[in-house]
Amino acid sequence: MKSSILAVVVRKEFQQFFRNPFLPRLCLMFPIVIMLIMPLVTNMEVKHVGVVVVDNDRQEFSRQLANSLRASDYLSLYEVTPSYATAIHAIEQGDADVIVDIPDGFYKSLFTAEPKRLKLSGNAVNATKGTFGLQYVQAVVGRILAEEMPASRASMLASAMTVSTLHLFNPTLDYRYYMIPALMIMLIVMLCGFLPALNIVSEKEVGTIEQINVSPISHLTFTLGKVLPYWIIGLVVLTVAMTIAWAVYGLAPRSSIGIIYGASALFFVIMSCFGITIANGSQTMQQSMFVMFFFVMIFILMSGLMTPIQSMPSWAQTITYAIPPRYYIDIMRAGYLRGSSFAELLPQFGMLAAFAVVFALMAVFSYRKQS
Amino acid sequence: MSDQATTSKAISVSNVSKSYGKVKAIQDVSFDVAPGELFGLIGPDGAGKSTLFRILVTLLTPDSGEATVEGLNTVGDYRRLRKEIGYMPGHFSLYPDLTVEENINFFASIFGVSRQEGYHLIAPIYEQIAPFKDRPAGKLSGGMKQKLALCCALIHRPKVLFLDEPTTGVDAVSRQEFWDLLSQLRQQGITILVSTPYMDEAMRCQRVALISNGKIMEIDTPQGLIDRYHLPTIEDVFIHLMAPDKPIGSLYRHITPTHHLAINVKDLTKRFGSFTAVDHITFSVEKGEIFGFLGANGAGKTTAIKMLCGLSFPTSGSGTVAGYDITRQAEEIKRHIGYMSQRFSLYDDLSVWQNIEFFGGIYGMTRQEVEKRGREILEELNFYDKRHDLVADIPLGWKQKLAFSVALLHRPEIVFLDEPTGGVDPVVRRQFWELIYQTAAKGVTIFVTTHYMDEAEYCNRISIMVAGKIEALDTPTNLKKAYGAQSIDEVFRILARNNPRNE
Repeated sequence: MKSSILAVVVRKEFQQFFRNPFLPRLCLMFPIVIMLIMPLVTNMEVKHVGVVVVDNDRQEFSRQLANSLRASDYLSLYEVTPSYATAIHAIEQGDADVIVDIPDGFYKSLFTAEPKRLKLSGNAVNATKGTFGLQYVQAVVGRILAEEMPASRASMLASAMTVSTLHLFNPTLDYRYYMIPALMIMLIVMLCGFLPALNIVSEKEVGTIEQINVSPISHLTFTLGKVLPYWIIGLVVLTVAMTIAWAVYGLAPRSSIGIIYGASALFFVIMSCFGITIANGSQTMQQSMFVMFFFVMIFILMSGLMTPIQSMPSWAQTITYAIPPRYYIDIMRAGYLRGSSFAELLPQFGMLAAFAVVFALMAVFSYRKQS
Repeated sequence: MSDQATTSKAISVSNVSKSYGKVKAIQDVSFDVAPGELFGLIGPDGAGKSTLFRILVTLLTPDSGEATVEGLNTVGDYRRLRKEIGYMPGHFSLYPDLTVEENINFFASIFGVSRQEGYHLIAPIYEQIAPFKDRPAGKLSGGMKQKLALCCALIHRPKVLFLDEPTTGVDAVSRQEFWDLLSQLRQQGITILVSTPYMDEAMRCQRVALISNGKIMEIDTPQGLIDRYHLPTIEDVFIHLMAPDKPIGSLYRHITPTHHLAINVKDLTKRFGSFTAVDHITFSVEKGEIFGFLGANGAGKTTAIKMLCGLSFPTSGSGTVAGYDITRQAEEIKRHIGYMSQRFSLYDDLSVWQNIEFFGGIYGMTRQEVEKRGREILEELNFYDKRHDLVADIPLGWKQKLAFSVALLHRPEIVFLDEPTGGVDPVVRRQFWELIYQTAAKGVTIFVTTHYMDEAEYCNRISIMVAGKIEALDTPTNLKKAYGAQSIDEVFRILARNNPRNE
């Protein structure tokens, strides 16, 4: 491999990149839009869950509960009614997702040996709101009980309702912090994975690749010349995204910046070589894009980027070990939120490096100058 | 629009102009075509032919002037008009992954007709492609594709047929069959407007319009033009009108090859599954020779060239190119050859000079070498001043000359040209062949494929490939003698007619 030939290929890629009226703008707009808007909309927190209180007890306690429900940001009290049927109707109409049914004599029974139970029902059709709403309501009830009763008694009653959902009340900001590193990763998956794949396939479709194939350029030089520009673009995009995270959301990595950039560099190699491999095996744009989408969906959904790996079935958890972004996400979240050291993250770095080598070899060897 | 005036005309164009931004594509064009006439539009690339077609088939609206087809205005009556016309654009408008049948049925259904209604019209054409009716259109040969496209354009029984360069990239035999079909259609009363870069096809039109820079220069019968200008062929008339400063005469120049072999192959074979694309071909090419590699569409020419250039492994057989073994030293071969493919091979989104820097660079030339050599080849073409022009903005003829020169950048010993002049008008073709002769005179071996049989006559020796085999190989003069033919065109027809593959 001659470095002068590599330089020629890289320069040509950049000339084409900047000649394109669309690509340079996209590469700048993409991270800006994603980082400015997506943290606000990819919020999985549920707010304003409608609650109906069916009050058969009619005590001070009931009023207090209703007031607390009304005061919560996360819940909105739709109505208080003596009729369970009315409450069900409200659920059916979509006005509410949770019913709190206070049985007759509830308050009094709290001071007896066998306290009656509050009946909480969540709407299973709108499962997210229903489940979250139930947990919110439980928390609110628990809090009122704590105010009303002696501490020991309250905690006994509360545990009977199994209230342990306090972390869901965590302020909105935490979730946003959790999402920001994930969004950076999606940016890199998109730009460093798709762009090189599109580049190769368009050379195939236009026919210019034939002219390259009749030249003595080596597989390694050509492949490297194709991916190197996207590493540089990836670096720029990452820096833009990190700057926005810091300037707009006040989120800066707790670990050293070297950890973030180091892991990202490995991930650029993985994604770009992955894109090239797919493109080498594809004849048309359509084919390569579809195969890319297939894998990128798996990457995004199974790597723990959107949902925690711990909540996947065990067979799926096993598969995630073979998905490179998994390790990158670990490093990014640990680096941004936990502030882990390089030594702690060594296993993840090791896996990323191994994947980078494998994917790079695949990219070089899947390129065929001769059929 | 007066109905009396237009009923006796199938197509009437009066004072039509169209500009794209500052570029005047057509300016003040007027002509009429009589019902049942076969009318040819002849002109160089970028003359405005396609724009005119697109206006007549209601895809574009003219800036000024008026066009009517079958008495219907192309702007006002476009809905009714679309039922009356059939259009076959330059690039076949077929779905490559649908079968022959499915393509026809699809086009019938979008015009709201059943296949049976239009069948009698396409029957004679369809019979020729019927054996392949279950094959995807993308897997047909060029000639077959073009017949299928014609069927699709005819399925709704149009009164007027618009064919924009239907035979570009199609071999001589298929072209003739196609024109025979057009003559039959004309006898059924269908008016046909056709554009073509082939001058032998222009001769088969009843009248032709020569169009250049968006203006019509002449309208007459082909014979009328030849008589008026006192020139031997319609091609000479074209060259006389388009490039009046170019002297007309035989292009053929004598080249003396040396007796060293540039290419020498024995029993070269390529199989794709059960299909033998190239079947034991054996031949050699001398250094400095211009070798014409002819064959019908699908005869295996491109596959053979790919093996010679190291783009494809031979299934069996052996050979050397520039002294290197084609099975083991493909990368060495690549250092010593230049290649220009059918498909245009420069980067459209780079300037000419950036292309030169890139292609020089990947052949390992130093900056100084690229600088010097690039300047040299561009100065020869008188293009050095325009070296920063974007390739996309350069006319097709220039692009082809530039692509050829870029293929010569690293001073290869052999240049492979795969249909370098496809779809190019006679003036540019002549310029291109002058370039070929200049290059051959410097001792570079030229290996060229073409569908223009007049170009075959310019070669030192030619081979004619039929169904994967080389059926004839000799000098043009000897071949004509051996087959008792007047021209290579005739020799080609005699050989290609016996094609068992007929594909």
